[in-house]
Amino acid sequence: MEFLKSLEGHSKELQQTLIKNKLKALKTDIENEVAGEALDKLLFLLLKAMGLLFLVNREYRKNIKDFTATYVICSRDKKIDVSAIFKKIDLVVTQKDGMEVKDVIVENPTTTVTFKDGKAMTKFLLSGNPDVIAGMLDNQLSVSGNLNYLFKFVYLLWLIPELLGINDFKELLGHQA
Amino acid sequence: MYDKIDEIRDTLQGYTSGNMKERLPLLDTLMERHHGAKAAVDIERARYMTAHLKETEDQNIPMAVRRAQAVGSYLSNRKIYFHDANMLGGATTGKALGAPLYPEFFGLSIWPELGNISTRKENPQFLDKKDADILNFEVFPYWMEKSMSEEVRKVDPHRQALLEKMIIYTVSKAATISHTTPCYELVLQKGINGILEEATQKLAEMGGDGEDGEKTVFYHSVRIAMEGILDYAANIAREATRKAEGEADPDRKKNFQRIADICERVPANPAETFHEAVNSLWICQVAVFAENSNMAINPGRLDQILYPYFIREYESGALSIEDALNISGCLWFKIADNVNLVPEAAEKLFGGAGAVPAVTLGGVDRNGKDAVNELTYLLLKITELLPIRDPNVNARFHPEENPVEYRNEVSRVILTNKAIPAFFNDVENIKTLVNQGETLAHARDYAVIGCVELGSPGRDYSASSSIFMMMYTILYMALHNGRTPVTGEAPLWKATGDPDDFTNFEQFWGAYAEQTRLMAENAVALNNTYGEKHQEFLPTPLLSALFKGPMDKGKDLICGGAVYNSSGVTHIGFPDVCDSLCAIKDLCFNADNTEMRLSLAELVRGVDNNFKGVELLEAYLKNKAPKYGSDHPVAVDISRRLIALGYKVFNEQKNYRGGNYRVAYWTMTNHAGYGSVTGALPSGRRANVPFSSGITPVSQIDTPLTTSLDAVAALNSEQTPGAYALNMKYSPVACSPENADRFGSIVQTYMNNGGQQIQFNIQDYETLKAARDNPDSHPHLLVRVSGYSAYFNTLNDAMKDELIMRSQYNLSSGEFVPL
Repeated sequence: MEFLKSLEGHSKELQQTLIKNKLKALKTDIENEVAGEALDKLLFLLLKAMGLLFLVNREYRKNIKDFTATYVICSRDKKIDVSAIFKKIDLVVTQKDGMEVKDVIVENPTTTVTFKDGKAMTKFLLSGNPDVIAGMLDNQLSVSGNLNYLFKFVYLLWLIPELLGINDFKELLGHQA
Repeated sequence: MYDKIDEIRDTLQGYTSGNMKERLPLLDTLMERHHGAKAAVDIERARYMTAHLKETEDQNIPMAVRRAQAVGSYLSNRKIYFHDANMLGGATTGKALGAPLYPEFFGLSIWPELGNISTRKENPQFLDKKDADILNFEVFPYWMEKSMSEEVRKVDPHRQALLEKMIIYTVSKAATISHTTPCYELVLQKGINGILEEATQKLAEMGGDGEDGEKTVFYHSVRIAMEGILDYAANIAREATRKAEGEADPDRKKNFQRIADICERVPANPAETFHEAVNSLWICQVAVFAENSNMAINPGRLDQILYPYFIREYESGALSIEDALNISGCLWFKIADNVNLVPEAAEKLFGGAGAVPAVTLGGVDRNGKDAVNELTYLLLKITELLPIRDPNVNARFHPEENPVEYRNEVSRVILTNKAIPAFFNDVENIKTLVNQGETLAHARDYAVIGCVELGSPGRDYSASSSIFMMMYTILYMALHNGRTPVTGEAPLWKATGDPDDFTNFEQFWGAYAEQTRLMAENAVALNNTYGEKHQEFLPTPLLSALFKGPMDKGKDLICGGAVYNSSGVTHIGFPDVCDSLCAIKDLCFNADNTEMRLSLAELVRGVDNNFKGVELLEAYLKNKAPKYGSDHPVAVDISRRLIALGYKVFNEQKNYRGGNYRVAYWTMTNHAGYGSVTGALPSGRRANVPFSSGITPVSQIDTPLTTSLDAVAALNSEQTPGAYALNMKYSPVACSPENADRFGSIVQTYMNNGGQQIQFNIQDYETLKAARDNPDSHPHLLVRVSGYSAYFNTLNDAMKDELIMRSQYNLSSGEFVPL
């Protein structure tokens, strides 16, 4: 939200440029994160990228036309607390379908995903083939709330690397495996 | 009657897989195409249904009518496809091997895979970008709040969440209205026009208020659905005519003309010829898939249903054996034109399954007399010549009524194609159905449903795969004071004691029985909630019209309109849990055991640590503890008690239609999938190893064949009314009359001792290992899994290993062949 606030007062074109620059920086951050060992910021970075992509990529934004939902992603060991809120985002002169990320758990989410721990979340995110049901089956994650919303969310999440132009994401995944 | 059997059997002997190319070139070509077809997702139905339901969202139309309109709209407007030179009109989907998508059930589960389902590792299903976008933007958003599981979550979130833990119980109503056998004879005899007329007459008799109002809605919706079927058939005829006109090849032209002629007459009118009867039945099966998901909707007793049409024409000289083989073979390929759409993880559990439509042959008629006829042998010949995944062919056998020649012919076919059909024992199966309240005549007319389940066709809306009970989890709960591995530290339903609390086996058995009862109650409660949601949102006027009962009562099938209204419950892990209970009794509570004794708490610790550091214990459990499948008295006693317990807890329950829960023991590939994600067991089974399939004793226990068969046959079949799958593996032998007779004799002895069902793989360890290690060397190897057939290469790794591990027996000596 701080970044979005910093856009206030700028023209639409400049806003777009600033967002794209921010996305480039996020792309680098994500690549570095995946190439590294810790990975504790990966989800947050992906979600931030998702939020910004909705603002600049019309095709991607079509996925969430008039879509409102709140997701909470957390871990049983309490080390992960992230919320993703899909709503209309005010951009000074206009309003767009978008998503806001918070590093706290918000109340009354549509769907909550609870990973066993950070490792389980990383494994899920870097599986190369995100499989909600397999995760549930392996007791790596549990879901409360509407499962269909989670299916949609995972679909949106996995469009991000391609949209960011992270072409060698699979190679990076190989490094983690 | 049946005086042509010898003549026809002689003629059929001339057809072998070796001369298919020359003698049945059409079937040979279709076989090649079948094996070459890649599965593809078909979204046409999903689009029509979604569009119609969206349009009528706020129009205050009764749900039954809206559903009928949506189904009718799809049937009336769907594109007509002729994928190949098949002699029958009608196709399940627009793809040669189609996976139809049902968004009202579990279709949205492939949403995360829209971008990669075509290339995923486990059984990819092609989906083009355009269709993926339609699903993403048009279809899926509409169903996000409306799919069955979400409707149920709104009223019972706790039990729905337990379902999603996957290893406690599952309720298949989240994914389907299915597992039943329609009465296609109704259509063959009356035609759809006859059913339409009946609905019109009933409508004219209705008053309009109260119960009559509901009946009016039902009959009105039946009319709409039937008109959809008529439109569909008329459109096939029209398109076939158009194709014929533009076709230069004389054979293809003739085929199109013939399809056009047939579909102009049926299913609208009663069938007159064998070809018409077969095509009429097939179009109705396609129509059922337009309303309900493509899982285990069964053609039924085809040798009985189609016999009058076959024999009349054969005797008149209008139908040759070659024609009948071609038409029947074409039906086989049509039945195999679809697979289920499942997310990749589900492939882990259900991998390799077709749609499992069961065909039933042989057995006795409604008067208890031998029903094996000329067409039985002809369809057995097709089963021999076309070893394909679907249909799931089953041979009923009544040891006192059916001839030995028939028994041996079934045996010969199994030895030839190495997997199908399965054998079903009429004596035990009729007895168990009568015990469930079916009349003797109806029970005698039973057909196999899906994998192995039993039901009177067209009379019992059997929903036979309603509940899957995870016996492993029940045992875990009994050993851990009511906790499960996936629901935290508190007992899920009830604390039934820590291991230290039990001073004798009966106390522990009490805990196991109590956890079984609680799981059954909760699974039933959830299944009934799903059933009520089906009644609210998914009326089935089309399927109802193809049953006996709904049209008389003016009541939909899912509201109790059928003559019988059972539901099925199957169990995963029976053999492994049985062995575990035997081990607990032997090691922890048997004062006479001087070789190895330890407390239950110590045993649980060893099991929970996956036998790390207690390898001696593991070896004892594997090799010396009593095992189900042997004649050890502890094993015999525990296996019978377990079966009695399963029956008792479900016999106390009623489903949402007022019917019984029928207990069964078949596992599809679930035993491998669930075994691969669950912990160790007191039987000595290590963590993440597949469970044994169905009711089959655990593999690689050195027990003679007859002992093993006797142990299964000794189980009380009245307590397994849903039947079970017993999987046996024989070393390959020549298909000589002597071997077929020996094979048949062993089956008959097993049946005489009380066995209900048995199925085979005629494979040795080496062949299966070679197929696993080099899939290209055995591209279409057909195997029996646990109730259905599959291509070995499409199974997941766990299932392949389980098939390899299965105990192999020498047919001649009956001795166990170690791996």
